[in-house]
Amino acid sequence: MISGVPLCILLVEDNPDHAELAMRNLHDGRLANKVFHVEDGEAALDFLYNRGVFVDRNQFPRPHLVLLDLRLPKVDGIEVLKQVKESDLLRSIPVVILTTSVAERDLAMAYQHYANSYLTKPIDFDSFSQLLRDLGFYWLAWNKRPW
Amino acid sequence: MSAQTNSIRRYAAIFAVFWTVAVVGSFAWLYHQEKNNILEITRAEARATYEKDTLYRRWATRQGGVYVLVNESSPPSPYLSHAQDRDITTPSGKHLTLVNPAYMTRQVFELADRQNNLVRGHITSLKPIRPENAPDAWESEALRSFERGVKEVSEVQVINGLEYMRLMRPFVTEPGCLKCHASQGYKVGDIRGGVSASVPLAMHARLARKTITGGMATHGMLWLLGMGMIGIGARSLSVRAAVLESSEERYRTVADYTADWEYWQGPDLTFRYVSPSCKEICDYSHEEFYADPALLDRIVHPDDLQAYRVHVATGGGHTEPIDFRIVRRDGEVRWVSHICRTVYTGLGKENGVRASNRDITDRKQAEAALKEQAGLLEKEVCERKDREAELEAKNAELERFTYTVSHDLKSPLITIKGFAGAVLQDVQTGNHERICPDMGRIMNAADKMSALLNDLLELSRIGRLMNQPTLIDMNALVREVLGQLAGSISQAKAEVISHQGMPQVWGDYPRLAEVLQNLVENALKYMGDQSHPRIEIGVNEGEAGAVFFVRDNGLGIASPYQEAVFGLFNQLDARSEGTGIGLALARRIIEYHGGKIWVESDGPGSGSTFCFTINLKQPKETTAS
Repeated sequence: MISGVPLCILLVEDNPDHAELAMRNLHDGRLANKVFHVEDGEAALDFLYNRGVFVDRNQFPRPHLVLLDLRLPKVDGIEVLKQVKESDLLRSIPVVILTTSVAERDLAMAYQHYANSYLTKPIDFDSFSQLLRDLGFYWLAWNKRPW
Repeated sequence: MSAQTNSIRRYAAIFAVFWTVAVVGSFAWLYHQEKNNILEITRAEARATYEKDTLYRRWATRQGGVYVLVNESSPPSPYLSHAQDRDITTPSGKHLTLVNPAYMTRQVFELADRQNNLVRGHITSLKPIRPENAPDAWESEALRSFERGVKEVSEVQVINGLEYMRLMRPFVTEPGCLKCHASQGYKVGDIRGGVSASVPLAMHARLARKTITGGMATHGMLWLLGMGMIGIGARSLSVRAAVLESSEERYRTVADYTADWEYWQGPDLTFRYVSPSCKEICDYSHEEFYADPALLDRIVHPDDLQAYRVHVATGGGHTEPIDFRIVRRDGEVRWVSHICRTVYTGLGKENGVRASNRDITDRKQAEAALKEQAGLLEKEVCERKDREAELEAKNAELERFTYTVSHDLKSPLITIKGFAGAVLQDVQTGNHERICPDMGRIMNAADKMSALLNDLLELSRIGRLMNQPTLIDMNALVREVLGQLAGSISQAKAEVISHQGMPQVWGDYPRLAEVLQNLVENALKYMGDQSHPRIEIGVNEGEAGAVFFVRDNGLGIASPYQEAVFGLFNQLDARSEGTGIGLALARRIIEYHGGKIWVESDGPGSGSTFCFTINLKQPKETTAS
C-alpha cells in the first residue's frame, strides 16, 4: 500500500463550502497526501495539462483521482470529463463525479462520457463523511493504479 | 289532338262538302238534261206526227177526198150531206161514200186512240163543224194564241193520269178546204183551227230513267271514290303530321325542359336555338338572344371576357369546359361552366357550335368557402404548431429551471448540514477553533438560500405580475436609473456617458428600469482593475429597430460564456456577490417585451457590450396619453 509515491487528488468544486467539507473528510481519512482544489472547469483542465498557473509539474503533479462537480462556472463538468476521456494522455485517470444533481440526464451524460463513478452529495453530514472516506479508501487503497 | 290534325280534318270536311256539291250538281245537270232531251224528243215526235198528218190530209185535200166502201166504221158522213156525189155506187154495185180529209183524219186518230202508246192526234177548231171536234181547255188556249200569230205551242200535259207532250200547230185555210168550210166564211190563208199531237212521255221516260239511274250510279261511285280519296288523304296527312308533331314534341321536350342553358350558334354566329332556361341563369330571355347575337359577349364578366374569347377563338371540339362569370340583367354575378363543340350537317359540313352553360355559382361559393375554411384551418394548425413549439420551449425551460433550482437549493443545504455536523463534532471533541468560521459558513449558506428563494419568487412574477405598459421616454429612464446608482458610480470612480435622443418605447417602466440597473451594476461589478472605468449607454439602429446598449471597458466575457451568463444562477465568478439571477431576470423581462438581449465582447480584458431590443406594441385599450 505504501508505494512511496505521494497520492494526490484533484477536487473540482465551485462551491467553497462544499470543497472545504470534502477536503476535511479526505484529510481526516489520511489517505491522500495532497488534495488540490480548483473552482472551475477551465482551471481543472489547466491543472491536468499543466497550463497557465499550473505549469510546474512538480508542484502540480498528475492526480491519481479527479473528483468532479458537474455544475461549474466557465467550462462545466461534463465538458471537462469529455476532454479528459478524449485525451490519450489523461484518459487513464479515474474521474469520479461528485455532484448535488440526481438528474437522470446528468447521470446518463456522465457515463456516456466514460465517467468512472457517479456519486451524489448526501445532505446528511455523517453520510457525506462516510462517502468521502470510503471513496478515498476504495480508489487510493483498494484500487490498483496504473502508475 | 293537335292543332295541325284538326286543321287537316277541317280542310278534309270542306273538300268533302265541295265534292258532294260538285257531284250532286253534276247529277242534277244530267237529270235536267235528260228531262229536256225527253221533251225535245217527244216534241220532235209530235212535230213529225203533225207533219205526217198534215201531209196525209193535204194529199186527201188535193184529191178532194176519197171514196171508201160504206161499212160500220165508215158510214156516210152526215156533215157532208150538202156535198155533191157524197154517195156513189160502182158499176159493180158497191156503195161508196165520200171521206173528206177531216173525216179521214178523224178515223186515223180514232184508230190511234185505241193504242195507248201511240201518238194521239186531234183536229180541232174554235168553230168545228162536228161538235166532237170541239177543243179542250188547253187546245182552246193554243188556238187563241195562234190567232195572235204564234206558230206552235207545246207543253207537257197530264191526260188520263199519263204524261203527254202536247204540240199544236195552226191549220191554215187552203183552197181545198173551202169545199167544205167555205160555208163558214173562211178564206184561203185564214187560221181555221189546229191539229194537236200528244206523245206519251212514258216510253221515253223509261229510257230516261235508265240513263238517270245509270248516271246516279256513276255519280254515286264517283262521289264515294272522291270521299274515299279525301278520307285517305286526310288520314295519311294526319298520320304524317302526328309523326312530325311527336318528333317535334320529343325534340322540344328534350331541348326546352333543361336546367342548363343550351344553345346552338350557327356559323354566322346567330342563335339557331336557345333554351328558355337561359332566363333562369342570366335573366335574359331566349328571344333576346335570337334578336341580338352579340348579347352573350356583352354579359360575360369583363374580367373573364379575354379567357372566354380565347376559348371561342380556338374553335369548337373542346372537351374541357371553361368557367367564367356572367353579369345578369339585375347586376348579379354568376359563375357558369361552359362546354361546347362544333356541330356538322348530315353532309359533314361545319354547322356552328353547340354549347351548354351550367350555373355553378353554388359550387364556386362552396369552393370559396371550403378554401377559406382550409385557409383558416391551415392558419389554426400553424398557430397550434407555434403554440406547441412555444409550449415545448416552455417545458424545456421549466425542466432546466427545476434542475437548476433543485441543484442550487440543495447546495446550501449540504453546506448547512455538513458544517453543522462538523460543528457538532468539534463541540464533542472540544475543538473550538473552527466553530466560529463554520457557523459563519452555515449562516452564509442560509442567507444564500433565502436570497435564492427570493430571486425565484421574483423570477416567477415576471410575465405574471407586470405593470400596464406605458409609453416610456428612454432618456428619462436612463436618467432615473443613473440617479439611483449615483453612489455606486462615484464609488467606482466610473465615467458614465449616456447618449441623448433615445426613442420612446412601450413597456413596463419599473421592469425596464430594473434591466438597465442590472446592466449598469454588472458593468461596475465586473470592471476588474480598470484604471479608467467607463460606461456608455446608447442606442443604435439595427435591422429590427432600435438596439439599446450598455458598454463597459471592464473584464469582458470570452465567447464560450456569452450565452451562459444569462442562465439561471449562473455566475462566471463563483466568488462574486449575488445569486446569479440578474441577467436571467433581465432576459425574462426583455423577452416579455418581445425583444432580445445578448452580449458582445472580444473576450477577457476588452470590455462587454450588453444589447437589447424592445418590441412591445401599443396595447389597444391604452392611448398614447
